[in-house]
Amino acid sequence: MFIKRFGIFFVLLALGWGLFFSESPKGNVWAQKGSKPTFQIYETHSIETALPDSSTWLENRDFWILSVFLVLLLLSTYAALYRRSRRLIVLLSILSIVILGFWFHGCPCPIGSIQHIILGFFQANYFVSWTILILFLAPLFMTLFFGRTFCGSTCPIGAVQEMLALFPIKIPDWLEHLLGLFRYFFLGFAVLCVACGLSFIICRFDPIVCLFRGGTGLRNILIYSGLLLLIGVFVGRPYCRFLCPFGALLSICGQLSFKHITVSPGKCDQCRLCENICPYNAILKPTAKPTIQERRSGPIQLGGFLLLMPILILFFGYLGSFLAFPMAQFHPIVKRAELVYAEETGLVDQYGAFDETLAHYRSGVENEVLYRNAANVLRRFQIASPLFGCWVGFVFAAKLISFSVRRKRTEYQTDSGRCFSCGRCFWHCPNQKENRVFLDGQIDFGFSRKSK
Amino acid sequence: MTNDDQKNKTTNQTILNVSSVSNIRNLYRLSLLGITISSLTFLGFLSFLLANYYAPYQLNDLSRKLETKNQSQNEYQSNNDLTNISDDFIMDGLSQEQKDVELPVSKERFTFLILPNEFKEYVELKKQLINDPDNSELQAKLRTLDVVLREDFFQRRHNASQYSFLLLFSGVLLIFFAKTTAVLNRRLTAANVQIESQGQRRHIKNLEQKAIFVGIAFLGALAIGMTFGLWLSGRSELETFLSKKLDEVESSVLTPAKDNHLNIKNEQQANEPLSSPPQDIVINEEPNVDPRERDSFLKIWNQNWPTFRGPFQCGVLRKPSHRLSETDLQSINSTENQYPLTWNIETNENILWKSPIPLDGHNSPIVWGERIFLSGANETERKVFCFHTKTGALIWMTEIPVSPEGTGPLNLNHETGFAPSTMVTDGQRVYAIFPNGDLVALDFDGKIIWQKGFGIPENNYGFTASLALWFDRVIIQFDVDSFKINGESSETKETMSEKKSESKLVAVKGEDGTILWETSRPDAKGSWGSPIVQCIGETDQIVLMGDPYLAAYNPENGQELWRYSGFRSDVTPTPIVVDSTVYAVNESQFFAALNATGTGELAETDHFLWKAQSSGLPNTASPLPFLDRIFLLAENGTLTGLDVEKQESFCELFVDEGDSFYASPVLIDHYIYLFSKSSDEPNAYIIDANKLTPENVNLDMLDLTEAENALIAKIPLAQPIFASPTLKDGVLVIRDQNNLWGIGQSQK
Repeated sequence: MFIKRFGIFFVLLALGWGLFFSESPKGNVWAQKGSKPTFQIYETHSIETALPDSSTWLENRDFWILSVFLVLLLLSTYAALYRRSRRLIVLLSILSIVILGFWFHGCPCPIGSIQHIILGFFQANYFVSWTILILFLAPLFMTLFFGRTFCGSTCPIGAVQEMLALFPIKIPDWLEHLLGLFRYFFLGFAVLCVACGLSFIICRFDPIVCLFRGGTGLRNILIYSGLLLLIGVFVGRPYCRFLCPFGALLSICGQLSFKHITVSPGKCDQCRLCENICPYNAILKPTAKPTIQERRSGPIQLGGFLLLMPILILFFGYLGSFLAFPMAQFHPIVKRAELVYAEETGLVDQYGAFDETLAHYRSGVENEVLYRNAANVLRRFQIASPLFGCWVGFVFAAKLISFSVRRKRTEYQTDSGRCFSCGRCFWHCPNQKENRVFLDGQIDFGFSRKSK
Repeated sequence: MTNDDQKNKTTNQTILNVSSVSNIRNLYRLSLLGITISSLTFLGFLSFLLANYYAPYQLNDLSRKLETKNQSQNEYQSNNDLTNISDDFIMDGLSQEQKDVELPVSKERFTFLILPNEFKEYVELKKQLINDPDNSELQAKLRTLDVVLREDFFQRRHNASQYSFLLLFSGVLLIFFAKTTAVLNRRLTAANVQIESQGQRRHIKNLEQKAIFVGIAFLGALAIGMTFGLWLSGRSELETFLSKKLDEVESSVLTPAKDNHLNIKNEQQANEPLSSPPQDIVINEEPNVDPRERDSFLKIWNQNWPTFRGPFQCGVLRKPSHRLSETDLQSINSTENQYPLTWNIETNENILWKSPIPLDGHNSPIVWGERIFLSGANETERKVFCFHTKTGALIWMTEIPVSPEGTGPLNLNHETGFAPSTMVTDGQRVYAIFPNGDLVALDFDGKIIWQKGFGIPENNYGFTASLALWFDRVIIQFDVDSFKINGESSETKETMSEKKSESKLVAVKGEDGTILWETSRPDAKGSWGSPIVQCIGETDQIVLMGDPYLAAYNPENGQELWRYSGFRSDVTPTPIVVDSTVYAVNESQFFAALNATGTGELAETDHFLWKAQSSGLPNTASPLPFLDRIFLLAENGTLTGLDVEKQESFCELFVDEGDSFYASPVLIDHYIYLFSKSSDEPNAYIIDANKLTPENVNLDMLDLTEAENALIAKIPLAQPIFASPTLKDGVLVIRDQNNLWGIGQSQK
């Protein structure tokens, strides 16, 4: 029944999709060519053009990217939640790597789309295309309903790491929590950089895209990518768990998800076979019954952290204000102003000693204009840096509060915020139908343990 | 069928027989073998990939490879795509000189993705080129090195891409075999033997909580430390400066920015009416010249000989001053002479080269880098020539067409010639003007960029003023009676009746020939001197001699700064500036010294310093400064020495009886070089200025020979010299009627 409903839904979706792209291009405000992702640190500008004629809509790259992406997303959800098949998840991961990764070079992607969305807010003339919008919203939408199935087999970056996690070791839970904070910091930092016109740092520090582009890229990024992949062999999905800013958003949405994968397809038997098998610390054990002391101290602790929250936010906000100028110095206009100022005040002997200053002098722009532009940039950072500091304080406080909230679990559950819907745990649960075959002890390779 | 049977049926279907198990064992072994092989290939391709980037750069080999490589494609592809660079495409852009250039052996070893512009050799060459931008050898080297490095970089990237795919393929195989092995070797999960009690769980949870709290505290401390560290390291005056600018911005009325440029108008300024320019000044544009860029430009300007009488426009190599430092004095009096004190045109002693000039002219050569520029003309053609400083080779010559405004008969004095005005260059373009009022700009390759016709300037002897340059604009002194365009004179009855001339001072933008400003000088009659542009005090001024006044103008907008009324009749010698003093002379009148920091009319003011009379005031030659003395050279060969401190002349000596002089002298260290124009036996004279002091000579002496050891050399020349000589890097360039000579110390 479900397959029928899903099938009908899928057919309707495909029809609508085709209509979406095949509509007459002239005056079709829905059909917008995507903004070209850029790694430049200068202002970006969007490209607003209508789609070509309907006879050539098949040539539209965005159409294919979105089609593949949405199909994979839907299939990932199906594979994780309904089919519960690790093999299908792996197959979809491979398809994602090949098509979204190597064919389309991993760009555009939902992770980088955050920056476009933010830039659309802060820059009036920056148009966010529908492609970017869908890439950003679709995984969040699916996560709210079905958990992080996007991470399971749709995201090519996650898929690569999943394939590379050959000898994953479990890291302590407390370390997982601490390292997991960095993706929130990275998210806030990325927003700061985009809002102040600095750089698309998420794309700049994407560890896998250079792999998708034939192993080419800047030297430092290649080294960083290589190291991350090497770490990923032993520590599963390091980028997803500790650095991915989109994962930070998905983690929040995942905790609110309506439905998500479970270890056991049915009721948990508490057999404890899945206790230590998740390399991503996404399986939560049943909680211990709290003592009377814990019941008393728990609310006090929670209240204390709630009171501490505004203090932490304000404190880190104030701390963030010190970052305004150091951060602004990375902006090209401020950098140029610094060099021109150094030449003007005699810190540097020669005028035009730097390429930037030489270009500036030749441009005919007055120094005064440059300084005022730099001052404006500094003003942006003076506003944004304290806000980033507040965000950091908020993240710390939220983490402290989350530990103070008492949660009751009576069975082994997946942490919907952390679980990547990879399906590794399926094989270990005896309630999984296909696993019954093994547990009946009828297959013996001669080198595996028999069990009843 | 019973349940057991059903169950058995199910399980029976899943029971593998013994042969299947052995097959799986073989499969397992095969997968282990697969892991081994794919690991080895993975490591192999990885080493290829790394070896691709580890290689000493043999740049000359690469250069040769470029030449012999087969042509494949015509299109140059982007660096994301693998490059198939056409050699023709690249090599066509290089001249033969550049292709033959010898490149340094690279010191780079591990070249892991070093970008071409990060190479040490590239950076060093670039630095050298910045200091010597006109060095064509350096340019050739840099261009070739750039091409070679890029080709190699993209080739390595191409290789890296291929190896990466192979690496990826082997990686995929490795993962496949590893996964297969893992699946085949899959063990059933074993639960922890130990079951945690509630207390243990609580304990573990408490420990984890504590660890997290400590961790958060640690991260917080780290964040605080990093913030302060960044703040301390990033502190600079700029922050305070920009904060002040921000306050200004916020308190000002902001107009919309255009291209990131802010147009900020102060409220007060916005309410003030715009002042209109004076009637006699036409200002088309008031571009703001960045003084910093001007200073940078001047540094390079002073290293060349880019205009009439050199960078300081007084025939000297060093900035003239009455008060030189000890170091400069030592340098001047050094016995090591960069320039020769003798040469011989018969034996070619110290004659580096001699090149015929296709067309005659009296303009002096100018030099920028290793290029000498001069113009020549006759009744029917006009050309600009470019020679090489070191070899004298004619690099190019360009014919200059006649503009419609400049078409018509020319009334020229036979001594004026058809190309009397010295050219000027700014390092990017060269500018020439001809007596028909045609101003032309050419690039350093001889291509005409723009040409402008002002109409034929009319005065008694013809237009002869040399060009001057201030930063980005060419300055032309049109001291004429009128302009003739298409045979019609611009002189009107009104101007004739009011005795007003069409004289004007014009500034033309070097880049495109647009007139930046024109300052009318209706009360100035025809004259034949040239304007100079020098820094006086803290401002740049255009100083020019005219009839009836010496005047100075602001080069930015053409506004008159001051004038000294007093010079009349034929005015030809160009004034000079030493410190803040302008020295000017006119043959029929006197020599004057003025403090040029004044405004308005300087006659009868304290700014007028002193004047001197002499029987030997120059007709055409401009004054020559040396320490606390000024030397004047009259046409009849009288060399007058003036003492600046005593404010009087101290000698008037005949250089050589019967010899006459037109060209302005030059000073090299403490030697004065004079070149005569006698048609019979023209000579060059080298005089030691240190011997011409008030202590050594006096007004009673008539002849230079009476000054002991003053005359160092008298050197016969091939032909009369009308053009002032040029100096650059030890080469004395002189121009006679037919040839250009490069005189310098021959290599031993």
